[in-house]
Formats: sequence, structure tokens, C-alpha cells
Amino acid sequence: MEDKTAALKKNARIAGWWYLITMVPSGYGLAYVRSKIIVEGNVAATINNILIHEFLFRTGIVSQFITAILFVLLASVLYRLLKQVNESQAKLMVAFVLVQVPMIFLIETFNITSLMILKGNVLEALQPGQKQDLATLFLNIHEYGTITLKVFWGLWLIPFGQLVYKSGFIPRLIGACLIIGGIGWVLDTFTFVLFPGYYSFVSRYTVLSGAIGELPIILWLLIKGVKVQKSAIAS
Amino acid sequence: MEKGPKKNSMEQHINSLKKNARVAGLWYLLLVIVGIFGLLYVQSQIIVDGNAAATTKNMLVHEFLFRAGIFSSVTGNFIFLLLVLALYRLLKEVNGPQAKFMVVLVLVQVSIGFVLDLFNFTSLMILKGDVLKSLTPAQKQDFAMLFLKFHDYGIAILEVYWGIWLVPLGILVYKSKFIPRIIGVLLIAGGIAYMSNSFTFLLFPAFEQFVSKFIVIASLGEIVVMLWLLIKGVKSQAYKPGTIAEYL
Repeated sequence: MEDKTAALKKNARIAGWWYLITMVPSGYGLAYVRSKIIVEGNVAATINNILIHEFLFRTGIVSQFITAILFVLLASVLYRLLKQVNESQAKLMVAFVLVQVPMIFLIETFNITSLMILKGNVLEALQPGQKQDLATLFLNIHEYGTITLKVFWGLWLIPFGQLVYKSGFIPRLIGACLIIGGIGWVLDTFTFVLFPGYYSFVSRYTVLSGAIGELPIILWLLIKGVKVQKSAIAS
Repeated sequence: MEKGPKKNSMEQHINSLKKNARVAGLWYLLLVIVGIFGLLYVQSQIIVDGNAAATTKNMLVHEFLFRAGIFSSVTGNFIFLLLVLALYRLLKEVNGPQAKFMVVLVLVQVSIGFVLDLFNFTSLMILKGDVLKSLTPAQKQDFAMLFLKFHDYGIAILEVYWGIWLVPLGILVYKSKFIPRIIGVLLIAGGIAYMSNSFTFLLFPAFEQFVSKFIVIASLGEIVVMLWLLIKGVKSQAYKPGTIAEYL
């Protein structure tokens, strides 16, 4: 029984670390690089930034590849931790993560294409204005893709939250937070696709719900590991 | 003394099979509804074959419908995942590796569907003037149609995968003993029909019109298995003492 608790604790810590590590390249690419490059509503400035900060832009692309790989590892660590609660739900959680990986790769291809157009690698016959337009088109496809992908960011959190809620060794409240975060991201995509007029309003809250959803579990896994007594009783 | 618990566990097993079958049937039903809405209804309202002007006009006039079609496709994608996992729970006892193979063949197509939805969305954004602002209206229409076509070509190729996962599913159903064998045969036939459709599109486009008439066969197996899972669940009479021993 003690062995089992120790193993559980170890898996929880590993999961916590992976979670934290996954957040780093993800945040770097989606928040830092994006904020340096994209000037909302100003195509010329955005394109200028891409060319001036070309290396930064490239690191943003790489950071998403790394995120995709770390994300798979995170899901498999969480699977090890939670499969004892409900195996088919744990598998569903992993499946919702796995399908995101090729999506991330494809979305990033559009960003590379955008850069290549601007650098004159392709579409050489076009006028500068048209090149800018097409480069923006591919940048925007990347944006649309990132926002649509959020439905999957949310979906995997729902079985994850249910597993945590039922686990008996992680506080139920943290499971509930995850589910709220998950629903938030699903609503984000839903609004973006169907009701674009409300998107800027809704997305403010979904970013908040995303943070409420995932920060507690990361901190808890890192700091507390798992509740020792309870898991002893459960086993 | 011994018979009691054995019988109980047998009943429990049948009940859990039945429950799994119903869950799978329900996901299948949802997938069919979403598919009919997105791929048949919305398409029929928006797309005017060979008429780019009318098609792009429809997209702008019925913008919400077009968006709903995209959203239904995104939804269908993850319902597909839920469906195949429910089918896995139901059929893994028939043959574990084959059931896993079936799941993998679905997992790989979810992201493809996602990218195709993205092309449709981009097409709308071009028409709405969100991107490619310097183009003339006719050029915009051209680019919008290009992305719509990307989506269509993609779907035509994706049909290989719509077909191929039905083959392990059909084999599992055939061997299951708790779903009629004929449904397994229909599923395999459906799988082959989808794949033929896709190969004809790629290799012999001249025959596409002819082959696509058989697409009815493709969906027949799927509709039948969905109805069976929803209405009948699993055959309980199949559990004769001899066969039950294999399952427990």
C-alpha cells in the first residue's frame, strides 16, 4: 500500500513538472512571440515585424512543435496517474490530445508559408502589395486554426477534470475547475465560428476560465503530489 | 452454490455489453445527424455546381448557415472520436488488436477533417474582406472558390479513411456473435464503396459520376449498424453456455 502511494506521488510530481514545462514553449509562442509580431489591424506593421524579427518569428514556430511533443508526453504521464480511476475515460483524454498534434503541425506550416512568401521564396511574380496580402492570408489561416483548435484544448480537460473529480486523491474542486476551463475553451471556438460579433467579449472570459482551469492542477501536482491518507484508504 | 454468482456475472456482462452498445448507437446517431446537416443540407443550400458567382453569393447571404455547417463538422469530428472509443469498449473482447487498429484509423482522420474545415472558414473570410483586401471582387471570388475546392478535394481523399476503418469494424461485428453477421458484411461492403469512390476520384475522374451512385451502399452499412445498436443493443440469446465461456 505504501509502495502504491509512493508511486502515485511520484507520478503526480512528474505530471506536474511536465505540465509546467509544456506551458513554457506554449506561452512563449502564443503570447510572447505573438505580442512582438502581430499588430492588430495593421497588416504593414505586422509584416514589417516578421521580416525584422525573422528569427523570433521562426522560434515561435519551433516552440509550437516542441509544445506538441511535450503535450503528448504530458498526456501519457497523466494517463499513468489516472487510468486507475477510469481507464476508458483516461483513454478519451489521451485521444483528445493526440489528435491535436498533427493539427498544430499543419497550422504552423501556414506560418512558415507566410514567411516564405514575404522573403520571396515563392510567388515571385506577384507585386509587393499582393505578396503582403497573401502572406497575411496564410498568417490569418494560422490564426483561425489556433482559435478553432481551442475546442480540443477544452475537450481533453473535460475527461481530465472528471477523472480528477472521481480520483479520491486530488481535491474535487480542482476537477471542477478543469471542467469549467474545458467548457470555456469549447465556448470560445463556438462563439468564434458561429457568433463572431460576440467573440472579443467572450474570449476575455474564456482566457480567465482557462487559467482558473489549469493553474490549480499544475500547482497542486507540483506542491502536494497526492493526498496520502485518502489514497491509502482508496486502495 | 456455484451457479448463482456465475450466472450473475454472465448477466452483468451482457448488461454492460448492452449499455456499451446503446452508448455507441447514440454517438452514431449524433454523428449521422451532424453529417447530414453539414455535408448534405448545408452543402445543398450553398453550393451551386459550376456556378461560382451563385455559390459565393449564397455563402454571404446564408452566412450563419455556412458557419453552422463548419461548426457541425468540427463537432462531428470529436463525436467520431467518442463513437470509435465506445465501439472499442464494445468490441475489444472480440479481438483486441483489431479493435485498436480500428481506433487508430479514426484517430488519424480527425486532424484531417479539422484542416478541411479551416479551408471552408478561410473561404468565407476572403469573401467577407477579412483577408486579401487588395484583390478585385472577381479575384476574391476565385480565391474563395479555391479554398472551397480544397475542402472538397480533401473530403474526396478523406473518404479513403471513412471507408478503411469500416473494414476492421465490419470484421469485428462479423466475428462478434452478438451483432448479426450480415451487418458486418454490409459494413465491409460500405468500406469498400467509400474507398472505391475516393480512388475513382483520384485515378479515373471520368467515372466519378458513375461510381458515386453506389455511395448509397457506403452509408447503408453504417445506418443499419447504428439502428441495430440503438434499438437492439446486443443479442442476448447468443449467450449459450458454450459461447459464454469464451467471453468470461
